[in-house]
Amino acid sequence: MNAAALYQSALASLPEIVVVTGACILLILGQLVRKGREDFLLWASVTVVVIAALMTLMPAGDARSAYAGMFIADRFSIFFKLIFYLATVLTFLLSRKYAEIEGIGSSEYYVLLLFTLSGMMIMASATDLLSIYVGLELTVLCTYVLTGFLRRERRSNEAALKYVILGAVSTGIFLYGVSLVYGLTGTTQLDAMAAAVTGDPRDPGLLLAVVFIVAGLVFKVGAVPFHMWLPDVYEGAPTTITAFMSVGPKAAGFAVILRVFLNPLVAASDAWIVVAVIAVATMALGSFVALVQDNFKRLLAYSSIAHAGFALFGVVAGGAEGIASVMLYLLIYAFMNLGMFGTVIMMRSGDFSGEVIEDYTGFAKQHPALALLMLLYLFSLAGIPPTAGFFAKFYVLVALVERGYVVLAVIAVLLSAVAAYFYIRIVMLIYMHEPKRVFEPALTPMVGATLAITAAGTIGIGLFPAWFLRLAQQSVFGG
Amino acid sequence: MPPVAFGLSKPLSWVADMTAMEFLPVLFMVAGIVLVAGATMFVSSLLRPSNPYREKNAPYECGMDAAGEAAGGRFRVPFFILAILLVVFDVEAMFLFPWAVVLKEIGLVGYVEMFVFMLLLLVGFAYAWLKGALEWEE
Repeated sequence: MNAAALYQSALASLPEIVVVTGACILLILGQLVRKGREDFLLWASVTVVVIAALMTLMPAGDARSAYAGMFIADRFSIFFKLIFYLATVLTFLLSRKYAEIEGIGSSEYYVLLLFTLSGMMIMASATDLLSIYVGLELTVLCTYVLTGFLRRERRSNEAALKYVILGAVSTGIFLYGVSLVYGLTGTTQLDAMAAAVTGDPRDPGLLLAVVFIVAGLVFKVGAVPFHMWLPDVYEGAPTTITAFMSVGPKAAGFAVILRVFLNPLVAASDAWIVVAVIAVATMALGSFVALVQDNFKRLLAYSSIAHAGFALFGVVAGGAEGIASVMLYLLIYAFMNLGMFGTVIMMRSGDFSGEVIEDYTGFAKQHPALALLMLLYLFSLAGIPPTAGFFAKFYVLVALVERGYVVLAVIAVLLSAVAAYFYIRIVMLIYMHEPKRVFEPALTPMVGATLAITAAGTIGIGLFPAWFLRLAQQSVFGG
Repeated sequence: MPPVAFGLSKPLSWVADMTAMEFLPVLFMVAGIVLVAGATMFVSSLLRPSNPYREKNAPYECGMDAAGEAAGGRFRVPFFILAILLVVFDVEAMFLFPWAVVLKEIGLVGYVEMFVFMLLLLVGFAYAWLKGALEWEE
């Protein structure tokens, strides 16, 4: 690599460089800022993300490969990066008041979120198993710390410890798969891997390698049988971080899964059967276990498992339609889930945690507008037609049927009917019962803005789904 | 599902042989180490007199008796922070050695890249310094 190639590479990864540099500067500046001036850090972090977003959007032309084929800035990665920016900025806006209540408003909170963002961006752009690994580690290392950010709370510490141990194991499994792939093909580049394998794609060594890589990646999106960490971590982590983790790192995991799984090498090794089994098991477990949850965060954790299962159906479908449906699913999920968490975060005020579902009894009687918003997000998560959540599921089903997996489509519909029950149960509680207490939601302008943006996204995509689907289809790699 | 691109490149078995051959010396090395270490310990366990008593098992056989917190197997938390700080420079040194060996071949680009890496480590070190990790708190 000469100086010109390095310059080209730096140019292609400019958004990542901006985020990392901004995070480093804020890390040092955060120590010099006086107490009570945390607003400065918040707006500086938002500015860094906005600059990175502008840098990302500028070269929205042809795909540019960088760093000797380990990194690519193509439309696929741009689509995912926009989801990450959205999730990060909305998390920043949600965090201000919540961090004040919980006493976690230190500068490291914002800096770690920025580093997580850069890790996710590297994951979306990585085209080499090693650069995928680097992005993955950067993302999860930061989320380990963020999970345990409520230092004085036992649950938070426990969640962080569980997450670290299980995360390390899954990373080890992933790396072992990578080493097997290298031993068999002599390369870790996704494109070169397929070209190097010309023998039997059902070679047992290769199959083992694929299974290990699948296991490592599936852990990160919290699919069965690697989902056990998810409810505990989601419950223990600060609610803002739970909201972020259920959207950002999950989408990043899917970006990697799409790139790895739709690689011809993996596609030829019948890995889709494994993925289909995982998808059905994930959706079934997420939907059924969510039925008996009392804690709102645990419920949303299981709902997030069920949604990951549904998105995996899109991966099974494969092809341009399958990829586009998964991408659209993740975008819509980002809007509706952040909105849902926004309402939960808003309820946290004083001694009221807002984490028990029963706490929401009769909410509509006192705050009809906020209750209507909750209704919107819950209907969207359940997949009821006028909202975006319906089209997210609809396009995955269309892709499944078009590729001939009709049985899987039927299973997916049946399981999402089960999932709809526990969303509707909350709606019942909010609307059909008399309130037992006085609600004092901490509705700051920033939280209000977040709710407005997510509501606009949830309704907007529901009204113009075709436009957003075209956007996703144009962003599919290779197309 | 798109089919595998058959016949585009080298056959798999050849590539596998190639990498297997490359790593053969490593395997010999590992086998040699295990063999020599195991044989040494086994032979010496046959030859040496075995006569353990309390003083002999102490960390410093002919020194003072171990005292204080560390004697009970517990260490003070500040040591832990120092150990983490050591990692920062340990990793830096670990990458500096191979970098220095091939510096001529990788040229200006490699030179610049290493300085980017060191700058990032320095940011971490500056953060630790500002946080007061270098102060010894009693």
